Amino acid sequence: MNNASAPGALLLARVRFGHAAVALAGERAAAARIAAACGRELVTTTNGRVTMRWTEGHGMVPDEATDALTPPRLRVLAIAVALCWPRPTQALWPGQPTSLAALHAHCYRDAAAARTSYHVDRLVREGLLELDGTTLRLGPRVAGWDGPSVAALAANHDQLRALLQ
Amino acid sequence: MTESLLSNLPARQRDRVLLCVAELEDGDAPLPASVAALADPVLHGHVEAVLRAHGRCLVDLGNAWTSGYADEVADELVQSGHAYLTEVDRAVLALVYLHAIVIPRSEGVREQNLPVPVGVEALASNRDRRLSKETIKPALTRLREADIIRAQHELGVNQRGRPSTYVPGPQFQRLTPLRHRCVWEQTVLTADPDGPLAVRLRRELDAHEDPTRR
Repeated sequence: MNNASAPGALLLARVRFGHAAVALAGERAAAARIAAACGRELVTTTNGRVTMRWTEGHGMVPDEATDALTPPRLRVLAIAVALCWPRPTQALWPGQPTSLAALHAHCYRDAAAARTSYHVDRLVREGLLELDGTTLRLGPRVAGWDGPSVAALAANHDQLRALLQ
Repeated sequence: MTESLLSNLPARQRDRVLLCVAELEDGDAPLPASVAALADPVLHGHVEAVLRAHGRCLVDLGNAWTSGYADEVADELVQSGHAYLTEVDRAVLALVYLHAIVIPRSEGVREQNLPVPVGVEALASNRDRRLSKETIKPALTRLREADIIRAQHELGVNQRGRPSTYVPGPQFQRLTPLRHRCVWEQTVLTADPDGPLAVRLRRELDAHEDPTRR
């Protein structure tokens, strides 16, 4: 089989690549069926793009010993903080809820977009984010960030907001 | 049918296959070949089929495996015109590759000692004024965030008090043999366009009329 001629496979590759903005209904349905058969689902972001995530019970089992806060994961966390903390004059914690789709929309432009779901999953497990269905909040570990760290974040809040532009 | 590609497997084996796919696709490091779903020929075939259904493929690293874009899918993605990286980021990535791998290799550094970490000073020593330190530094940050390069301190190397140095990151391992060959060919054509190797390569590429390798 030539993968390139299989609409579902090509769309799923484009989803990982981060450029699946427009999909014909039939093509999307085929891709969704393949994803579902493999424990994944397609997610439409707030800006109409398509991304993919593992469904409950699938995906990687974290290895706490080696699962560091790598630069790609740090960026996903920074975008989540920017979304949940729109005004630095207000308290960082608990912040305001945002949607998983909104996070995906902003991570979408990144080269690391393909692994956004993976990073969100890890950040949730690490207590830095909370996910309730598709609603995303800052996690309990963020509540424990010390005053100087939060003050430094507030002082550089424009850089956080720039991640959303 | 792709939809039924795992339906004949017992639940436990299906879970093994999907966990293996998740670790191949999302993990920071390649998976050892001894992992059950890769070592067992039947499960290995299912892992391959799931990846193929996503436009992906297994990449053999000898004693380990990772995943990457299938060559024909990669061709389509490239031809669709979407740029994954900006022009500057691509240029800086090329400089990291040249300084960390190509130049040391041409100087006789053994394969096991590659890549050789490279710092901003060396990257900025090129003759193109558009690639100044001020341009290179943010590009390095973006490439790190995309996991395409790694800073040495992220790899456990103590660099306290010294400037950061960089090496190509784990995404390079996801290139298929054909993509590696394309990178090598492009490097030869760029670094020594009039050299005998480049002339021979150009002749071969013209004969094949393969636009993805030109």
